[in-house]
Amino acid sequence: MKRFSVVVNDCAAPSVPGILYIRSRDTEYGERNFTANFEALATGLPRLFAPRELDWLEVLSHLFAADLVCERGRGDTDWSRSIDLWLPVRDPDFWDDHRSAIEGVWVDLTGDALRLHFVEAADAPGPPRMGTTAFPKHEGVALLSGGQDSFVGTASLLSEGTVPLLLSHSASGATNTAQAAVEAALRNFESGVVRLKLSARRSAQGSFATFEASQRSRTLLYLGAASAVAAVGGSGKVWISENGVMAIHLPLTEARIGSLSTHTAAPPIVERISQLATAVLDSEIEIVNPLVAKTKPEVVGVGVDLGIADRFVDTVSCWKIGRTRAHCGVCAPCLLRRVSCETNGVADVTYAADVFDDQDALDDPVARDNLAHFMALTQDLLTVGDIALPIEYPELLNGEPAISLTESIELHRRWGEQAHAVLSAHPVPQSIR
Amino acid sequence: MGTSVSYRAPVTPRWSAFTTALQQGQPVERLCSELFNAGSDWEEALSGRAVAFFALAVTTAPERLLARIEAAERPDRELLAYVSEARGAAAELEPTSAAPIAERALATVLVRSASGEEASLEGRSGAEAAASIQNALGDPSRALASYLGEVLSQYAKHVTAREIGFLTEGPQSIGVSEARVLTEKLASAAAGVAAAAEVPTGDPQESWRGLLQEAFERGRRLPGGER
Repeated sequence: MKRFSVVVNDCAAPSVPGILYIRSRDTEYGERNFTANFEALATGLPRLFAPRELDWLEVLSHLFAADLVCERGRGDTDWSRSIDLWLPVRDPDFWDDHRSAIEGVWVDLTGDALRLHFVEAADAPGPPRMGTTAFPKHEGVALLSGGQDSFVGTASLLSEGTVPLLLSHSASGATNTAQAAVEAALRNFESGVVRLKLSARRSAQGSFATFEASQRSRTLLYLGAASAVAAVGGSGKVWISENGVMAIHLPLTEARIGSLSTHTAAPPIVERISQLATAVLDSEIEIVNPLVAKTKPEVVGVGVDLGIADRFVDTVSCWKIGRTRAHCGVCAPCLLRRVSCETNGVADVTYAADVFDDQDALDDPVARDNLAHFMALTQDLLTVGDIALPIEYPELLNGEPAISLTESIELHRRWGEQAHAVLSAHPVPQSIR
Repeated sequence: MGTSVSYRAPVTPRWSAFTTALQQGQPVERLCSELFNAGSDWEEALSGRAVAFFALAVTTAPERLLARIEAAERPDRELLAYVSEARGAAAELEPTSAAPIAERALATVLVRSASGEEASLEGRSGAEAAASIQNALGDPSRALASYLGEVLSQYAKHVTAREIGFLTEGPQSIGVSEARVLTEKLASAAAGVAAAAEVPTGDPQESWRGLLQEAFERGRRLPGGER
């Protein structure tokens, strides 16, 4: 286990060796190394963010920064982290009351231990300014990542006459391009739809002493910011669109348990974030995943029915897209995307590596491992019996409270068959089955 | 499933002995001995206070969980909440790399216990699930032995499953299906090490470290002799 001490904006903290510093503004001790910009969120709201709402946004962004600056080890017992984080807030007593709940969500998402130390902010900044134009009438806030699922989920809402505000977390160039393309496609459903851009990132490459790419906590910032907009805007509703197989996050194998796999949209965690946001923002926040009962091939099928399948080539799924600008073809999201597009016979992106048809692609141990693990889960879902399946994969319970265990099992059985049908049609998976 | 990573075994002589034995198709007894011999870091992590807390959550499940499950429309929801509470409390107690294995072992023991011998957890009423848990975990010593076995099983699965890709390489390669079968066999053998444990009564937080270390020590031995 790796241990870290992190201090935000040089707030008061004990002198311990090896401190990592996060600065979201210049201080007398150093330049800003992390940028968090909430101006776009505030511009069309009916009022300014209150101090407590500003604290919420800043706490979440600094948690995300801590996730980025604390570098994990490469596997075995070095993957996990224990982090002590000192961060300034306007009302330390209030945040101390919510410390345990925040730490609990962090543990759920990252698998790491976290100890928060709230310190009274010496010179907290004022709220971001409002613009002159109010946001259009909307019924909630929908996260728009630039991927297929949020594209389909939002298009489904719009096709039913439900108009959300869209919220994206700006990231790499490729992701930003995809978000803009998806936004343009969604305008075909509703020309007046508005997308807000949340910016939170290290200021420049090398601005952190160390850097961790796994970003397991990102969803807390993303959902938390959407919740703040929903609370102040009065809708009280947030949509996160993620297919059920990705949301429930069965590990591909036992080698990927805990935070070795993401838990981005896991229903129990989403519920805890909703409860936390409701308590902190003093406003009822409902977070809904409209795709949780569908497999990804089924989600892509919905996209076909909605007439947006020709735009899927503009979307991004790859874990490495921020670093390579191309779909690697190797990571689990790429494998799942490929299965989903092939199941529906829709045009897909070009993958840098073809682990389905090019045997040489398996010379890369990561590619070989990912494909083998992907196949292992598929095979288990087809062969393990009804009594044993939830015992072998207790993560199936993670459909609660959105879907029951029975629905979760049926969902994964369907996905197993869909994936098996595609994998069986290609020579490389057949060669190692 | 989601974005995920796995890491093959560290390049150390003891882990190399395990992976080489795996690739050579050595007998399960030998493989089991090698995986316990290689995992000294895991032994330390798994014997810690946080994992002992998960063990306590198993032995106290009959008194702390049954009433909740009996009254529940969906017992799986109560099991999930119980595991989540244990995760949070264990994290408060002591940060540990072993938490994912310990937590999964807890969830597995609870689901298996609530299911009973011949039924799946899905569709079970709260009363049926509660009765099954009482039957399986009502004896604290038996409950603790069950958890110890599951921790060892999950450890074996974790360190074997990460080699599935490796096992599909080279002239001695095996397929994914065969590698899964091998993983299950090793997990079963590792759990079997717990069967010989002398599990004391009383607070498992007092006895856990000794129990786990003794199990690793026993696991290192090859049949018929010392390592």
